[in-house]
Amino acid sequence: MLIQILKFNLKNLAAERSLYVVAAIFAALLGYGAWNGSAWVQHQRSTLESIRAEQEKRLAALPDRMHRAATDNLPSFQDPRMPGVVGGREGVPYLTLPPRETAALAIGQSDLYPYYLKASTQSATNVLSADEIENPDNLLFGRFDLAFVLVYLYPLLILALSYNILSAEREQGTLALTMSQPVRLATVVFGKLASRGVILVSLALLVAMVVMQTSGGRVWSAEFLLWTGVLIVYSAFWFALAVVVNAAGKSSAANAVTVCACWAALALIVPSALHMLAGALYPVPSRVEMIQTMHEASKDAAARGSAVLAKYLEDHPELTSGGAKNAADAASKALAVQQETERLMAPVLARFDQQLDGQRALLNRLRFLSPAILAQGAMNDLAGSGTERFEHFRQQVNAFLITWRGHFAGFVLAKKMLTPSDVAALPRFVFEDESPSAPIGRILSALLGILAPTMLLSFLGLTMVRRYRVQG
Amino acid sequence: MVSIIVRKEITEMLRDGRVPWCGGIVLALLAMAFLAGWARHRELSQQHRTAQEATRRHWLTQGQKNPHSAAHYGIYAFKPKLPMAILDTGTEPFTGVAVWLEAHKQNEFKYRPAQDATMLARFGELTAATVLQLLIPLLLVIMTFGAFAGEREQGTLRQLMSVGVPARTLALGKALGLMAGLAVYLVPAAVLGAGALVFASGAEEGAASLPRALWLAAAYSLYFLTFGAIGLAVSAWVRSPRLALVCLLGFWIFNSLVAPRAAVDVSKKLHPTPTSFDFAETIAADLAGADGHGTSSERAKRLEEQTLKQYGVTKLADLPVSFAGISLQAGEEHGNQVFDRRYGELWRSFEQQNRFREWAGLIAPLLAVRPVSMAMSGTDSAQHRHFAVAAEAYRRDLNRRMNDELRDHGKGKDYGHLVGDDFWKEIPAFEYTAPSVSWVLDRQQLPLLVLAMWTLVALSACYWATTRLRVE
Repeated sequence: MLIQILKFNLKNLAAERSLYVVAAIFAALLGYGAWNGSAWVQHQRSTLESIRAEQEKRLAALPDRMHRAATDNLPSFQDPRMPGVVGGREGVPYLTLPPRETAALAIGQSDLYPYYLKASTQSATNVLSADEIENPDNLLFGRFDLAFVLVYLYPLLILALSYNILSAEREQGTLALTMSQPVRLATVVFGKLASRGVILVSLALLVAMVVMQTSGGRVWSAEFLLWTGVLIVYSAFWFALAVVVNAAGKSSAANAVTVCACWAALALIVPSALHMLAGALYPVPSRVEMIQTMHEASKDAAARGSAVLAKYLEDHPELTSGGAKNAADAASKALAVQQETERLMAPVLARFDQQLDGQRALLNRLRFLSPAILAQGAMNDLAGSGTERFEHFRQQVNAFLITWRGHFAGFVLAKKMLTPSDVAALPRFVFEDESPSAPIGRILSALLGILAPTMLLSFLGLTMVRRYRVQG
Repeated sequence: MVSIIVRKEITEMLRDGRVPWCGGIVLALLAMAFLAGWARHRELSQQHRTAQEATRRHWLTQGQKNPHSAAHYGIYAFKPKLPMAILDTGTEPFTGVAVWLEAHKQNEFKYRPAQDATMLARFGELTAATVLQLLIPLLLVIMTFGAFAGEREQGTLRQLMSVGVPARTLALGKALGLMAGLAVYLVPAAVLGAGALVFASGAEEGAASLPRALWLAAAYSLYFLTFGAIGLAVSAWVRSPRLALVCLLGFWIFNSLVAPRAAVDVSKKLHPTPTSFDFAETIAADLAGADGHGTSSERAKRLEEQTLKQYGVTKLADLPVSFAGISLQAGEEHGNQVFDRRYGELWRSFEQQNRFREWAGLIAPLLAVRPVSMAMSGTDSAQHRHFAVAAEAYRRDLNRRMNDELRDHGKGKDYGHLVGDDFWKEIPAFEYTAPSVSWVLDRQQLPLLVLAMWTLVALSACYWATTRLRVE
């Protein structure tokens, strides 16, 4: 019987203009979103490529320039053999966060956070504050990617196709006719929804597969399977919502208003209200305050310069081989001051991270209030454009910068210049991606988070459909 | 006759239940947004005041130092927050509010506050602007879709026409009823908003915001008028309330969701911005002489010859002034030329993107009301730019004063020349005055014109559709 209803409904839908219109609009939106996402990934890749080329060229030319500098008599801040010059400019690597194969599926936070940073012997805070250039208006408006289409617009299309599945038939009087056949209403409803769902989901899947194929991703992977799972469960949620609203037995127009209000509440109001709540409960101290503290700390450290250096050398006896006369060296002093500044800054930065962690923990608990947040989060995670992957990158950057600075501190304190043979020994940065299982845990919990209310709504809808009065 | 219709409309709205509920929620959200905006404003302004004072104190008490070291020590400039920012945070989460002013470099866009938040920041802030731009139009759709189409479906339209109610009178009554219904929510909201403004800033500064507030109110009035008129026109034109609702919701979705993001992506395609990697490379190349002013050593040689000629001596040692000061200032001036050119290009590309979006307002009125709202709240990118330019001018003046001091009093000592607190006091503190309303208005002519055009077209459509009212 279900098969018959499905077949009949597909025929019926095919005869109706609304399906064509909705499917065409959906296909156009999907196509545009997919194209934008792919273009962004393409842009990131080509930028990273030119960065790599510049870095290679610079590093390849460095030994030669060092040779020449031996006779050129350059001022010390331009001499490519000075540790400060190599570590701050001439020898620095770019720390890059390459987009994942799945990146075209969601731009996510990747336009807000930098995806390449130039290493430096300066503080990590300084290095990490180098953002990609972007028109602030564009960041505010957001990007039109596949995730935007699926998280925001797709539910509206689902609701447009299903807000009147029962009410319209009742209004036209055809429902009573259908029910005169030996069929249960629940089967009719399911058949109607399944026929609509199959069409929309397959369209979205098709476009996503094309995106994956063209951007070098694999369609037969656990990630893409999960992505499909999120898409199906998210669709099911909105269909289930439509059933409950229909089963309440109001008119088509009333249903439309109700589903719209639900959509606005879940996709617009709850996320921005949560954002406000997180900011109110865990206010992140403004960067202004942090900068102020940094300023004060470096001033303080500079004022105690010699004492700071003495303490530093005491902590690092291995670096004192050059003898006590180095203590007067300005570079050593600057280095010690920097270390001291970072030590003084550590608690301030820790407070920053602590508040931000608080916000994230709150979001982690309360994200279950809105399937839209869950779906967006899962899609960002799968595309590798979420906050967590950037956090992972940031930690590696911090660790690398410590190695990098330490490498040059050795030269500075020993009052040695770099030689051409030292260039090959410069530390290199290679981003180690999250283990595949790390995002999967988060995505599975999001999946369950959408599934639970879907089941609840389905159960509620089924119960209500059983009691549904066919004639108004 | 009109008053009877108005009374009937209001009674119906109250009885329906949908409108009071939705309206009540919208009003509650507005109140919440005002409260949160007010709290945020109070906290941030306090922070900025403290920071501004601290940065000045640091400057004054930096102790004995070489003027050039002082220029490197730097100063932070803070953008004062207008009380109107309570209504619309605009691009501030993506521009930041402080600029770091130091020797040799122009810095912009560091520490975007949105980076110190969760992914929810991208769903948008719950500000009054969000409610006014997205939710009130949705409320208007719900209030208008059944105005004529509903009566037509129930058959009451035929009755009304048969008793000789002129279509024009009916339309006027319905429009007035709609306005009265909306006023129930908007008048308390406006009072709340004005209260928040005065509370946040004191009566005096609150009163100074009055012209901005009035323009803001005017722009939103046009926006609401447009939506209301379109709603009535569609309801009068199409046959069933269901179809009216679908059409109006479709327009709402296009206007609030699809058009803004699509416009961003198209504008980026038409007017691309460089990556920060390319931008930094270009500036570095320009500074190294690619701008046609010769390499740094060529420029140094030229400067040396010029200076010797100017003072009529043959050796640098015979100069009556410090050449270090002259050379540093020449470096600054060359840098400034490069920055002016490259940052000018960058900002031009942002402005072109923004201008494109304003033109796109012709197909979606949100794109016309949004820039006006941000501009009047002092949070658009043009006003960020205005601030950044003022800060940059201050930086240049500061550097010039430092270099002049070195030139005039550093003879023979150059970088060993030290100055103290008396000299720091001579440097004025950074003062910034936000641009006047007329400055802002000047830049909002296009969106305001587009908005007025929308209103005109919508009202004409409403008049046309309601005077040709069909009973069936």
